[in-house]
Amino acid sequence: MRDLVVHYDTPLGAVKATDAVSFSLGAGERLGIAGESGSGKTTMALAILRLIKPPGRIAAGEIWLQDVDLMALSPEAMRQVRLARIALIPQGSMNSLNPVTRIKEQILDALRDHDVRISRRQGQERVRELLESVGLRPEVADMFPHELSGGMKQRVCIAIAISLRPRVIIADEPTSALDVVVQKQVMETLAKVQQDLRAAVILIGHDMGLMAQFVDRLGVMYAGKLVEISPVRDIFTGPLHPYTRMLIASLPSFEEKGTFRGIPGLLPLLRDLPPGCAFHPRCPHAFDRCQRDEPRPREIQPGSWASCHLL
Amino acid sequence: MAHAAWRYARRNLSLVVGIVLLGLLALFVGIGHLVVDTSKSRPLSAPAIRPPSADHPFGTDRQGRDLLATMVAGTPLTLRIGFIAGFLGVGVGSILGFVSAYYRGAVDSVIRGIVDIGLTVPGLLVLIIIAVSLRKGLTVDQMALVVASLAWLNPARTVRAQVLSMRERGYVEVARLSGMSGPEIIVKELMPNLLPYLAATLVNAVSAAILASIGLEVLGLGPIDSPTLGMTLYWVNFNAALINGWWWWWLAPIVIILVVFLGLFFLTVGLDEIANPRLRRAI
Amino acid sequence: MTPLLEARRVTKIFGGGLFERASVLALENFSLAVDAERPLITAVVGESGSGKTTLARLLLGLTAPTRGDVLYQGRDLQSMSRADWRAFRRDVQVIFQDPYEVYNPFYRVDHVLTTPVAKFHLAPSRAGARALIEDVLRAVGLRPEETLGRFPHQLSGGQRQRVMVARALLLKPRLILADEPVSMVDASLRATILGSLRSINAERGISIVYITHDLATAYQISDRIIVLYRGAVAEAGDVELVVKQPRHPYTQLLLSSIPRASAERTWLTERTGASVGRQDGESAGCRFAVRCPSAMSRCREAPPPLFQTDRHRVVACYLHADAPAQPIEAP
Repeated sequence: MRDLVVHYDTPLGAVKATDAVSFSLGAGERLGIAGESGSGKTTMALAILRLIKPPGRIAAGEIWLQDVDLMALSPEAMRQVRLARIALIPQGSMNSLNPVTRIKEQILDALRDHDVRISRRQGQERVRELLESVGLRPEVADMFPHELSGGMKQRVCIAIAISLRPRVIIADEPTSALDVVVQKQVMETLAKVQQDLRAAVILIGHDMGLMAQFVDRLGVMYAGKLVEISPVRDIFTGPLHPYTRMLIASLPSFEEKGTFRGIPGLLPLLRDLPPGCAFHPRCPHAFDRCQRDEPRPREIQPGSWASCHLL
Repeated sequence: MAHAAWRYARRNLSLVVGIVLLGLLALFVGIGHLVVDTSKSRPLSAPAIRPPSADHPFGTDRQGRDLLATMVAGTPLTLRIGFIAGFLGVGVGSILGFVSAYYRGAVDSVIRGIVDIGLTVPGLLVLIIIAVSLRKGLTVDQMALVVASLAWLNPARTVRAQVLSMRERGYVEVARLSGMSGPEIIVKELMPNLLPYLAATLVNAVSAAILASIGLEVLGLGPIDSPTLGMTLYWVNFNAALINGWWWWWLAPIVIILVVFLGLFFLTVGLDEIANPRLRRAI
Repeated sequence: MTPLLEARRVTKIFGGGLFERASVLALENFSLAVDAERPLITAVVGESGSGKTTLARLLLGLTAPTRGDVLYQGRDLQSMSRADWRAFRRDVQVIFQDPYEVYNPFYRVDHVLTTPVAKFHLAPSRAGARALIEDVLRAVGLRPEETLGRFPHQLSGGQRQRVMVARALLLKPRLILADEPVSMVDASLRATILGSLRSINAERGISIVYITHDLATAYQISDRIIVLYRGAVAEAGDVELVVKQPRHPYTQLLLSSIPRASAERTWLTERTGASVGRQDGESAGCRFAVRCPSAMSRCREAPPPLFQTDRHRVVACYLHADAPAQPIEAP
């Protein structure tokens, strides 16, 4: 992704939901995109699949899948790319399963939509295979969504996402509604299918702990901008951007008890961003340049990028 | 301020169209009363069956009524029936809906039962029966009451449904924990949020009431001496004006009725947009 | 000393009436006492289906227990007078999970603050009311001039939740029940709210019952902790003991399932041994036995009592049957 800019047209003018976001994803790599509400992370995921609907629109930027420019594809070609090459597990997908259709039909629907011609028997076999790969019993195929638990439903969504063996899986907050024990099972499933397919994963979320334990590289978004992107170990041993540092410091740990270090101030409204660096009103290290110039991403260390005037 | 109003007008075209239509009607009636002699809406005020001319811009009918005067005098009467019945219906219906939904239990069962049964009975039939039994010289206001007797049912049901979902809201719980009593919660917490919805329901009720009253009048069950729009249509029917080619007689009331309903319809759609933010389109 | 608020062997069963087939045992034999003298912070930790929401409702008197009692200063909530209820509503305040739903969108946020002041006659005049409101807003770290006069949608989730905490303080309560107060608030704002709760407890002597599914924040804020599993207490006691040296297999499972925000990566590779899954059938014994890697035959026969393994901790698990058993009372 290079310099992606997504605008939302509102009565008060265009709001930049994402601003000049750039990153690259290697084959089989796990990339995390972390951010709080309004940071633009879901918008970015939808943009990759060109699923931004009016009043939103992709204003600028390029998205390349290997050597194909996704922005240049026709709508029909893009439709082929979705699910078959890049699969999305959207936010709240487990609650968006069709309540009156059996699981096997929902999986087969996805296949049929992509003009996969298979016989009835082959279809049943494929469904069984997919369910097995996400750790579900074959009987689940004949069940309805309401008969399944949250974790099981989410694994069905993963099964649908991998049904056409995509190269990239984008998972948007896949476990936020799940209990912590179930979360671990679902993430284990995701890791397993990723390894089986040798696919890359983009995990979008706000749980830094989950990111720390799952992804290889982590990008942190704030107010529509990617403020830092580095290998995940580096982010947690030596965060570069003040926002990342303060965010990690505010997380409740099991080591230190009783210290509460929240980030003062408020998340900025995208339609009313502060001048210069969007984080400067809350940053304890802000100086005069921070109010004037927007920092651009620079490679601070090999493989670590951050946008901050301090660096 | 004006700029914001203009922008909103562009987004909510329906509301504007509705207000404009009803406004034109109001102008027609208002200026009409100043300019036209409404006593000419009585029979034998003018030569019968005259097509539109300078003396009688809308023509005259078989009983010698000047039709322009009739329209000017009759339109507000029809609207009045609609408004009285509509307001009464929504007023009574809302109160019952609130009480039913907030307190639940036996009260809810009783009110709900009456509403459910009442709504399955064909309304017009009931109104006809009532009107026929009261047939000794119905006045406009009595007409309104007859229509109102059924107009409260639908508002009661819809308000009840809205309140049922609203009473589970967090802020109702907080209000209760802050020491507010039941009636206070209904009035202070629930009602303000229902106002846009109630406005839309009101316009609907007025529409329905006008339609019901015109229906009864066309059947000859209305206030026979009043120049209401429905009664005019009754006479149109009675005298076979359509077959006789006296087009000016039926054209005027129908156009006005169309304007009334279109105006109310667009107003409802416009109010719906205010009441239900999810319907808001992007500009 | 009579506890301020006490739940005594409370059981709550939903459904199971004449026309319903299944009944749900939401909470079983639960006991908790909030001390009137020492203001502690007690965390009740449980996942979905643990009964923690039911517990909150029972403690607030919003629903009645099927068995057992909930007592306010020794008086049963179900048979209190109006005057007692008023006193109860002053002494026990609540903070809800959703900082959006608790505001009536028609009014400015001042409304949730002015209403209790008016209804409970907390100030003699409008000026007095204003001063009181500004006071509590500052106590939670908000600036009155930035908060009052605004509509709810103009404030962030974190700010709205802090206004709710301020509202809770208005009545000078002795206990605040916080039901998942930060789970719908952004990460960077959570620490501030939790810090407020901690300082309210320390400076104003208000007890807090903090209900959550998040063991990490529970550890940060509380003095003692109760871990619920499917309506029954699994483990309870001093928070340092329970979290650092968990004895119940469920507590251990919970702790190992939490992904830590650190550079060490052990989460996915650790095998826990407990199996998945909810059981719909009610077994007679320990609720966790179906998933427990250490389950024995006696676990399936009768639910274990609370064994006191340490001075300030109890565990409901037959693995520790050598310790003295308590007659199902949490400390």
